[in-house]
Amino acid sequence: MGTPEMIGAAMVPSVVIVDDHPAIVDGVRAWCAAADPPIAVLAAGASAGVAVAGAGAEADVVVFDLQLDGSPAFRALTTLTEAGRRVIVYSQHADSETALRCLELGAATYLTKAEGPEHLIPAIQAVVDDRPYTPPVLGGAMAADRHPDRPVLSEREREVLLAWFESDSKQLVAQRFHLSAKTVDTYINRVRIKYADVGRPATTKAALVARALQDGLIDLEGL
Amino acid sequence: MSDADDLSAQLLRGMRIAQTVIVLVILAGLNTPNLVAGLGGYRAPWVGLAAIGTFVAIAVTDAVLVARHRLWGRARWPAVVVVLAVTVAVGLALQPTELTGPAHVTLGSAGWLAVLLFTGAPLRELVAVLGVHLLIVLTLLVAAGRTDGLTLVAFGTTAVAVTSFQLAVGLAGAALRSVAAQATAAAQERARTVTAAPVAAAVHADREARYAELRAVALPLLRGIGDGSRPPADADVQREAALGAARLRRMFAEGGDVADPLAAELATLIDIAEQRGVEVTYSERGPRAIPPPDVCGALLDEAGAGLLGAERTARVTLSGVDRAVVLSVVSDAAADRVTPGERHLADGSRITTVVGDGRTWVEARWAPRR
Repeated sequence: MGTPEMIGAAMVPSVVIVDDHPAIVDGVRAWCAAADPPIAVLAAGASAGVAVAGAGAEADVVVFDLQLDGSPAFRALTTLTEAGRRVIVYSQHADSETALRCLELGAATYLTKAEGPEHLIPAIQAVVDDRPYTPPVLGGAMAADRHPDRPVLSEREREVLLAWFESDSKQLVAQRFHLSAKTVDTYINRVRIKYADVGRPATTKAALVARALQDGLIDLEGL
Repeated sequence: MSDADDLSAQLLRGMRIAQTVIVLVILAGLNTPNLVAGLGGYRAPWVGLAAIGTFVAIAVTDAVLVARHRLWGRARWPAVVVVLAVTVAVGLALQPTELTGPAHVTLGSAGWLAVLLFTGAPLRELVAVLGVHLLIVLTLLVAAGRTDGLTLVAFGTTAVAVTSFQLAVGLAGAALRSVAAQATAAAQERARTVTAAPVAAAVHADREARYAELRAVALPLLRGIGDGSRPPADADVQREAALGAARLRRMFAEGGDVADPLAAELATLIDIAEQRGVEVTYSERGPRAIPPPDVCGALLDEAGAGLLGAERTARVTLSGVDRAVVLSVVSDAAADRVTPGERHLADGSRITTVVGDGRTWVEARWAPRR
């Protein structure tokens, strides 16, 4: 169990880590400590219980290993999102269906462990603010997704998402399509909001959509 | 029905027409007048008339089958049973004195009907049926007490004369069928040869093209290494050698039973890069079509150049989006080796190169033509 690091009271973003692998927990702790501003790790443990009771229950974000007992822990994920928790699924699993299913169940975002070093901290920072965060592999899953129950993407949105998946560099994507990096961001985030707007409703999804409206990322007509 | 059966049926048709005509002429021109003249020799004359009627009906049915290019098939067995039953009935209906006379109309014609029915069947079946018929007649003679020498000689003469004709026709049919089978086999063999030749030529041309490509790529490199003008320690030489080796491997792997040759080859390229100390991130997304081998080769060549040019890191992705197959490599390969922009290959693939952010991004995209 981690000790809360009280740096300037409530302004410090905090996480609880649900992962059964000590090396992963240590790695995430180290990244959180090195983040600017630092992120407090309130608790860590091998089961979802650590995020429900004790210090972990207070954390802003749950960093959740989907592969707890060998099979994807969709039920535990649902319990967390139904309780209104912001969950970042951090998984060994790299297949598209698993990633998109997690979004449907109300996860804030989905990262593969290979993307951790670059994307986990920015993801936590975005999710704490209820802002969308789409790492490249998740973008690739959305770009290739043709399931009839899923959002309809424009040709441009699909192109930009695929390019983001391919390059892992918004600057390269911007350069290729002669867009600004901000516009690339807008395309990617809009798609994420489209995904929040389909399937089963969840408070986490509502928060994401509400924030997107406030930020002017989408307007009411776009919904 | 196989082609061989078809061909033999065609060849047999002329013979069958002749047979049917012979049998109808015998029934109408020989047996019927004999029967009319000899009706007095029958204990029950209607049996003789019914017998001729039945035989004519079978011969006419055969004529219809010949016209329709069909053989009797399994129907020959009930038909031959009817023929033999008729011969028994006629034998029993005749006065014993008439058994070797012209009024015994079925004696000559039953064998001819058997020839019609057993056209296309193994010769031994016809021989067996002819033998059974003669045995039946002999039994009838013996049963009637006509075992005197003169009667038996008369019966033997008739039997030999008529049956040898019938056997000769049956033999001719069997010989014709064997010739037809050989002709069919020869025709098929010729067709196979005719098909195999262009296939072999196409395969050969394909190999020639690949070897020409290799000669253009690998030979100058090997020659350079040999004469010292291309030192193996040089990074460029190593890169070219790795690319040439990848092509060689692809050529040797041709026809290899890999479900997704593009992904399999890509995995090999990644292995080579990793052995050179490059950290490669690989990711796949979406359902992908399997491109034809030459397209796979072109995509891998483009991606391979980027991957094998990498110094320390490379990101490789393989995606299926909207029926398109997209192979992308982002690496820290030196930017001076590539020309940013878009190129289109002859097979419809599109190569996009972007340089920036300290990285080189090569995307090769192919979609099947609609």
